[in-house]
Amino acid sequence: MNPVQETLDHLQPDAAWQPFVPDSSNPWNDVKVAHLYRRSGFGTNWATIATGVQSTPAALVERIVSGAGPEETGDFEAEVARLREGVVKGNNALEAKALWLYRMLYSPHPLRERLTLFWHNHFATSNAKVRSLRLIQQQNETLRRHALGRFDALLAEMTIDPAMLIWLDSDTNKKNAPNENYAREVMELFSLGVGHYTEKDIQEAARALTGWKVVDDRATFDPAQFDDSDKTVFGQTGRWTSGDVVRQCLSQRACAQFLVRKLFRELVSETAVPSDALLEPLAAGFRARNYDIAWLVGTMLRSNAFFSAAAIRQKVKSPCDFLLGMVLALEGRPSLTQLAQFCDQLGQSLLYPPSVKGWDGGPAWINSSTLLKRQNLAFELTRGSGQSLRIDPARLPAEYGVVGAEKTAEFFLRLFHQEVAAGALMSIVSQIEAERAAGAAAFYGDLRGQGDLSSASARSAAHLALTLPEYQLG
Amino acid sequence: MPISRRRFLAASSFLACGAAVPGFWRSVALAAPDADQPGAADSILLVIELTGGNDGLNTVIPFRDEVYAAARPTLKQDAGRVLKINEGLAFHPGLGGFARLLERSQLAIVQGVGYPNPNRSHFSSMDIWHSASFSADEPFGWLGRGVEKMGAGVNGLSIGAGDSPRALTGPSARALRLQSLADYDLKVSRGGDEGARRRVVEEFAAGDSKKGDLADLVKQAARETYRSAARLRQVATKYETPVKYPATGLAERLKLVAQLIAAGVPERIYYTTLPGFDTHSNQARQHDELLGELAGAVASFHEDIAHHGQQKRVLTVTFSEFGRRVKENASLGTDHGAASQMFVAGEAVRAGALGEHPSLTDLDDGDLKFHTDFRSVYAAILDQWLKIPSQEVLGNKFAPIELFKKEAAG
Repeated sequence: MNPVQETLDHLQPDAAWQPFVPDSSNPWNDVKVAHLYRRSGFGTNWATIATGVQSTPAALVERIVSGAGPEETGDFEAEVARLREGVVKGNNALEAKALWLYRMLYSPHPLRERLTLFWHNHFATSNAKVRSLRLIQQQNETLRRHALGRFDALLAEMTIDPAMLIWLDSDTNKKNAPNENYAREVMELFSLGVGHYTEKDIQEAARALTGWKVVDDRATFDPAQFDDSDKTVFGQTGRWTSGDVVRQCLSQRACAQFLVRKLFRELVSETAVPSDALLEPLAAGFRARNYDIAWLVGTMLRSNAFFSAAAIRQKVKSPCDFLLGMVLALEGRPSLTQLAQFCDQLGQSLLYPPSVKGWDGGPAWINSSTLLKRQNLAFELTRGSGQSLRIDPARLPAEYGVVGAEKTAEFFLRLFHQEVAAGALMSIVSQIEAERAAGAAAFYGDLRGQGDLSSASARSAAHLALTLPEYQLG
Repeated sequence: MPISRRRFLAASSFLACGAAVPGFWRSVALAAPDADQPGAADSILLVIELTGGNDGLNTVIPFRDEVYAAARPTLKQDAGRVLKINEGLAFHPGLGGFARLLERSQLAIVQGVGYPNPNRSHFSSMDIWHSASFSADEPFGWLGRGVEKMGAGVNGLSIGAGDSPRALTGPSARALRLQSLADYDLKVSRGGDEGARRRVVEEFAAGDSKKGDLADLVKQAARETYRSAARLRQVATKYETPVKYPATGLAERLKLVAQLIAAGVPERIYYTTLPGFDTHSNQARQHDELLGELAGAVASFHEDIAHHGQQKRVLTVTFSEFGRRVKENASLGTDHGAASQMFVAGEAVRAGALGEHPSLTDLDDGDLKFHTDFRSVYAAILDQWLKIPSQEVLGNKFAPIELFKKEAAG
């Protein structure tokens, strides 16, 4: 039996979702703070981790779930709205991706962006077919608005979202020629999962979903194309409409379990598989609170399960996690279109998911091609040159008062991994000391010293620390 | 059940029982060529895209046909200079390299290739050829979909500058672009002892905790990746060839492919482009040069591959998004057309002209009519050469053309 699975299986369903309260045997520390920032956002810098350790899990999760105050949020949203108008006018997909990366990096409410990305993968819609950045951005805003709101409202809006209507052919779903595409996916992928509906349910629901089309970028209901006759969905007969189908899906018991399991994989662990019994308290609470996503997410992030060994480092970083994590830790301001290209190269083309199933995620992110690219991008982001990158690890040791080869290597290991493996520390220290002894630093062209350690050594230490395979885990 | 869930469960159960890590990149030793078996599971495909719409009619020429001479008053090739394939057909004089391959029975000319309702837009027609689909919804290319079925260790390699072609795109970002061997390398800062720096990175991936956990999985992938990168570092220094490639861009790219194949990298799909075929005006000289570059590079490449004992593994295929109008235009060029030919080079092919040359009088809006759907050529390559079920890649069953010699086809 795998120890990670064992840890999860040892948790009792009640205790698992109780708030984590640190004690001397299981203390609140940088490992847990960094874990919380990785899962609830895209990572953070050392100052924020250090501040977090001084706080409590309850207070920190509270702040992360509620986000910044209205003033800061208002300013940020106004700025983004301006940028978005430019992106839509320019009709440039790379800029649209870059704008989202901007939000992920600098949003006063990173959890909202993390969940917007989760819902983008859940209701995976690609502009490859929609072919309208305006509609795709509009869908993205809808996902964001409901990201921490209520799932019933989100599902209802997605069902008549213009980009979704085009993506799953609802705009060709007509009374005399029903198209089952959306009817199938709303049950299989969006709300219930396989095994909780019949083919007959899909056929009948497709008829209830008829009549919608996109006119002038707006979802429009055309009564002439709506099949107004009786349909039987989940054993109930009536002259159902699309709103009824949404309501019926939400009223199935399987719905809450399905979503809780998917969010568990997103927020808690990819490697440990939870039993239905373990998830049932969350599913019951989610149902009782009318699909309040903020409650579900907050409960997960506060929990014993979340801060257990079944969760920490038990995910493979997505390309967004990997790239943004480095940028945030190194406190850089890189070119966002360049980052968007990197993200594409690593297999996560935002707004262009590969299919309605979204990205496979997990171990599928890593293959020889993407791993080599990841390692080479870690080098690219730490070499301290290239104007468009505006990111340089050599600045950090001075800012944090770190002096000396060993302290610098330790700093970067702690920044990226929190835990400092003795072997890795020794390898990095001896490498940068050897380079200094050989005068290799001269090759880097920057000899402005920081303490007794050159910028080149700081960059080497940061680069090497990032190439530890463990860095691929989130 | 959605694929994501299935894969997740597969990964989880792997972790739960700590079984062998799935091969991300098969070790180079395992990729050793199985040269005695034509079309074996380690077969290699090189695709050359002739970008812009190659004038097929002036490439493989029905040189005795009076309609040809009449349609091409200035562009027609002199019957005394063309290189004869059979009684009625001849290569353009620039295709000496192809004539050489044909003499050795290593070249098939698949005639009259196209698809129904030909699209004469470069962009749309190229999309159709790349995706093997008429649906705008198809996000991936035929080779990208194919490489997904070739085991986790195989990537598609796009050789040369520019973005990876749509043909190679698939869901898992397994298309690598390579301009030089250095692109494949694990990068570390330059100067001083680069090897020592790289060794630190490599050693981070060493060791196996035997826990079978997620970190082990990444380490295993990293070890195999670094091994292949190290292997490639040596390729350039160890590679030798008596073949004198022409001094052209395409020859340089194909030489790089030959180096990789000779080094035994596990990749099986290579893709490169030769642009410039959109010859609306003053076609003659440009087309001569392009055909010369094409045939010279392909012939040298196959000679080099044979020198390295890999000739039974390698198949080269060319295509263009469309052919050109039968009648030349008033600018000493030709406009966008429809059906054209594909060339397929390798020891396994049925050498010579396959199928009839399309009629020069029974035309489709002034263009040659196709009789062979390009997806039937893809089907033969997928089913019989790469040994991937073509129906799963192409979405429909297309009857494969008889492209290979009997003993080679599977």
